[in-house]
Amino acid sequence: MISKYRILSRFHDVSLDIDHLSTGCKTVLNVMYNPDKVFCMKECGENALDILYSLEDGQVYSDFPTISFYMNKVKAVCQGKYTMIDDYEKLKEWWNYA
Amino acid sequence: MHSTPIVMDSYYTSHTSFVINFEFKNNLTILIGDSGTGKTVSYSLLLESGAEDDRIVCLNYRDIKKDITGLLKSYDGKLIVIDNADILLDQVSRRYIAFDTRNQYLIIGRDVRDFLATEDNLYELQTVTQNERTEFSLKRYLEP
Repeated sequence: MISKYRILSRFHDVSLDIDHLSTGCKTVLNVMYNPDKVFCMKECGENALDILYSLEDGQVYSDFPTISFYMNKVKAVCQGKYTMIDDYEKLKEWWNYA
Repeated sequence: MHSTPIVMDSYYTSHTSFVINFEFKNNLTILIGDSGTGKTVSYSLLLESGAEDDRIVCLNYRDIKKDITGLLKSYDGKLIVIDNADILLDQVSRRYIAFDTRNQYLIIGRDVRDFLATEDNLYELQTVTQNERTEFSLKRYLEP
């Protein structure tokens, strides 16, 4: 960020308005600053997903298991109960029926 | 799913200091990867090219109220570039794309359900900046 409404692009050091932030970056900022709202994370890239899952607060939504390709194990929580899942097919099953 | 590209094996275009230099190995290319790496920038450059090259059709979130499957069925011999595919495509349009033998697809999104996709279809952007020129090319997301 170089000012309230401007960012420095990673390409060619040009400054851009904040509406040119990547979808993933906008989602992370929205989740961080609006913990009372739910944001769709389906369009997030790997780096944004890693940050989202590291946040203490915030609410996200996806109708399919949206995890980073590099995650090989997740803690899935539903109604206070949790289970460790290390297989994407099992995670899909859990996501659909939890 | 491995299939030979129907419309083009490669595409090159430049706009200001950006260059697109894509090589297509499959008829369905799914572009995934980190946020902020230039996927939507690439879409914008292809959209710009589509003004002159009638083989290119671009769809994104602005088309969300349209009948996407109907639109896809109306195209023939096009490279159809779809950004925001995770929100734009439903199960019906995804299945249509999987079996479409008239058009080629470049899909930007991470939801690969119903495309019958394999790791052969997954790509990320590779970026090289040299002398104030940034070139985007396609790189296999999961190396064999």
